[in-house]
Amino acid sequence: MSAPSDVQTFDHVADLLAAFVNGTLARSEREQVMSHLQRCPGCAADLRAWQAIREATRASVVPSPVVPATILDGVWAALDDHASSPHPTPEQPIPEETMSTVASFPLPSTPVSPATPAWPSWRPPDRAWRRTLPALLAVAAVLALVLAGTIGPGRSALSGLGSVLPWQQGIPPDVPMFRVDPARTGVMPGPGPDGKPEVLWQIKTGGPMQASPALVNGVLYAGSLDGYFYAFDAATGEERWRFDTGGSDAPHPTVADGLVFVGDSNPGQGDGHGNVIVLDAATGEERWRLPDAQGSTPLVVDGTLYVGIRDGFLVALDAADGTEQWRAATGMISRGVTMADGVIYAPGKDGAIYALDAATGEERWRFAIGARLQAVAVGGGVVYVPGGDGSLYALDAAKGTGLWRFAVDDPSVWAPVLVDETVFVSGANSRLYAVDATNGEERWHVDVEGAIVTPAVVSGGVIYLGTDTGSLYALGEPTEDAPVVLPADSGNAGLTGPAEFLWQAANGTEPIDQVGGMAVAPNGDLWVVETNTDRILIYSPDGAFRETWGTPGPSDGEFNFVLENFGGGYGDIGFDQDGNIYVLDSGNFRVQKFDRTRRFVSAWGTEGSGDGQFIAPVTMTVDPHGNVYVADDGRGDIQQFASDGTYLATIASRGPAEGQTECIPAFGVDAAGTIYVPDCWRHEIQTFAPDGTFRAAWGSEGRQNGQFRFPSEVAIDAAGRIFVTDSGNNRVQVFDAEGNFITAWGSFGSGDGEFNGTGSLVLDGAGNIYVGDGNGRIQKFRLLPPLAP
Amino acid sequence: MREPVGEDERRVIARMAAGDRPALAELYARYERPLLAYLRLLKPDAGLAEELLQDTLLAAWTGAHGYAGQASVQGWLLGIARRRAHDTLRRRALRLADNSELEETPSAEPNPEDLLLAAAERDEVTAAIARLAPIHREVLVLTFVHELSYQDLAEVLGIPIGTVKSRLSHAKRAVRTLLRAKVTPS
Repeated sequence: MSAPSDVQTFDHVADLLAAFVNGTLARSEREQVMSHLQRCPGCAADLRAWQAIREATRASVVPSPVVPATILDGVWAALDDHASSPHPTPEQPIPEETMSTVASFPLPSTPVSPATPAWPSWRPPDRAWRRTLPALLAVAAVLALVLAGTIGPGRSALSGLGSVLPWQQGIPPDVPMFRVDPARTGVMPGPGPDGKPEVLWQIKTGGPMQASPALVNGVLYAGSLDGYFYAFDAATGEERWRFDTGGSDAPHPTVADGLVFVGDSNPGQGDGHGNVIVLDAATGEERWRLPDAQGSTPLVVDGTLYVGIRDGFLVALDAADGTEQWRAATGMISRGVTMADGVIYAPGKDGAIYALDAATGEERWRFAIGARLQAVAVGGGVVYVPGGDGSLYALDAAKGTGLWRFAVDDPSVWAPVLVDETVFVSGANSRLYAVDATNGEERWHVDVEGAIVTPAVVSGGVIYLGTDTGSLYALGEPTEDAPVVLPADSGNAGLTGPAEFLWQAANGTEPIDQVGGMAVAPNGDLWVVETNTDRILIYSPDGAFRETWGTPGPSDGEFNFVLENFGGGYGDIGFDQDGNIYVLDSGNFRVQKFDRTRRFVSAWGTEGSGDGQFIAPVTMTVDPHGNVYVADDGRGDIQQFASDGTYLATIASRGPAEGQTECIPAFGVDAAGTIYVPDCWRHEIQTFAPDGTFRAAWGSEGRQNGQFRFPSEVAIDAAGRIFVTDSGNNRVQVFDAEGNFITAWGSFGSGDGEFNGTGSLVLDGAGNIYVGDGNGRIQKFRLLPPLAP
Repeated sequence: MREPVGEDERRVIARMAAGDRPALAELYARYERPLLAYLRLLKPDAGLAEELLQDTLLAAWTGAHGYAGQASVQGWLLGIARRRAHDTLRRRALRLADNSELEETPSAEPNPEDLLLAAAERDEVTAAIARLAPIHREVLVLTFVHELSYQDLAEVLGIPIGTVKSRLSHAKRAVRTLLRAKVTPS
């Protein structure tokens, strides 16, 4: 056994110093460091540097914030909701591991004896649940109320129609709100298809469809996370109108008295930043809106709208004009309220259920349990409960005893709906099941594209169903009256975009080894930095590979595009009006300038934080006047140079304040010298005047139009429109100079027009755009109106 | 050496896995502040950070059975929080890939910049740290404020231990570089 050499020891100890300072070393390593320090002066200085960094880091952090007391309450409510939620929040799909843990409670797969104690026999037999037994009994009581209040209105509405049902005249019975009725029973008017259905039509929207559509008078009303709320002809799928909700989440809509009530919320901002938008059902025109709504599902009964608002009240408003009738202090509520027998049941986010008089808002009682009622379906004396273990449970509504259990083969089972003796249930496994309500046996299943994250609507022999890939389906039996339309393309966002795919190019048959910056040369060729090989790839305008340029190294005319201190490859390229070539040689902390024959002219820059120095130079822009701008994500700023390398100015600085940036992956400069910075940490675009004065910021984190997830680069066309690669959303978004959203295209994937993290982009000034992505390729698109120059 | 993963903490997680809600409340009482402090670092918006804290607790509850004890409970929770906060890193992740984070060549001689750093006023160093890129500020805060071990840092950041060491080294170098000029561009 030989002692390690000094050099080996040194390397090892240098690595350990931060942990040594921090007191996070094991004793043996600690002793090794101490012994080594005594004979290593370099290590001692290093140690003191780490001590200084430790103290300064601790001083730089603001004191631990006060944690709001309600956070844990919210967790309980969410836990209770998970097992049965029909509507996962868009930002947080329920993880797979969720369900297997939440509900591993044993349920007899055969009916249990009626003598068996009701709820405890199937709830998890642990301490927590025993403690909540009284609460469970309260749930049972409320369920019974719901049941009593529902069968009445639900059935009488149908029976009042006489012998000829509307759907027999070509109009399916109405399903005007989430889960059919104010009591949210999920008892659909039906009928369902006789046997296994086929796709009658399919529409693709530009975003997930996570809300249950409403069906009224043969028109299907549905929101999509593409930011539009749609009305479709239920028979053909033809679009009647669409309303731009301004980038909204879309809870389940409600249709009443010729109006559509659309709740919207901005998922990135949490509760209380939404609206209820009230639209004319026939035309889609906005009638009025309630600001500061909570983004929960609106309920409308007898001309009154009940909805939670931001200040923690449930309000009752005149549905026609928004006049307030009463408000009750419930705190923030979950998703939406239920109503039966003149009583509103509001599930509070504090885990309590509030029972309020629907006419006056007077609180009748409240009970702290944290469960939500709309998650189950109740019909024919049976309660259908989606279990967190991937099963659907049927329970006797009066006794609470288990009747049967059906396995969905997927942990995410959503609330089922009922039609006569059939239960329709689905999971995130893209499969809709029809289950015999009497015995739990599968009748059939149908597979669709995309996870089903919302209850189906079943009416007039047809099943209507949305998926998280943006499809809306009508499933039924094809007849002469209902021709198959597949796939329907009614010009929806997502199918036809504002740009036409022309070609894609990689490095021969291999992907480009990380796409860095790009530029269009004066002759129209596309030059692309391949960062990990320290060279530049040159393509013709039609996508033919021409040649490579550059060799790795630190000398004049050599390149190093990898920033070792920043853990990644960067590098950029640009041309001025005279055809001179500028290369941002990131890893060498400099800009190199070449003439049009690629002869080296000059270079400037060294590592450092002084004027004209670089820490992590990531992208470069050369403006029409020959000014060279370099964004430095290590310094957190942009430096401006003259074409000969003379330092001119610094724009922006790193920090949390307005006018500062947290992250500068790139930037764009328009003809007037305005600078646009996509702050990939704050998910917004910041604009600066040519003199560096902060002007404005727009955008927020999210998936909606006008929102971003890790915006990466910006380009500006001659008309002043801003093109942004929104990398986390795999798309290109386009805005006007004020930041108003114009259009967007792109989705995740590796096919034509699809992206795996949009990155570099460049406009050629002739109506085309090149976009690089994480698939290691460049795609070229021709811009169509209104983007075409 | 910090305490090994406490038996009591392991038991708390096991109870959570078995569906015991008071166990989650106990865990929350212990870690609410560090979790929120870290989430605020990642997401300066207070409301968003609080939402993410809820999401983190929810994910901890549902993922409790998957906790194998290789990281400390705090490291495990912070890792969940980070994944919640950055559900998609996309290109950012590509650019912050680990394979090119190379080691700084060490030297047995005192590095003059280390001496400068050691001698600098704390305010100056603090100002430099406030100007660090998020990737570097994050690793320093996790190391010195949350006092995570290398193993926990690797768990939270989702990178190998070797990369933890080189990232720390690069963070120090970035602080030095920012200090060296002592010029604060307006």
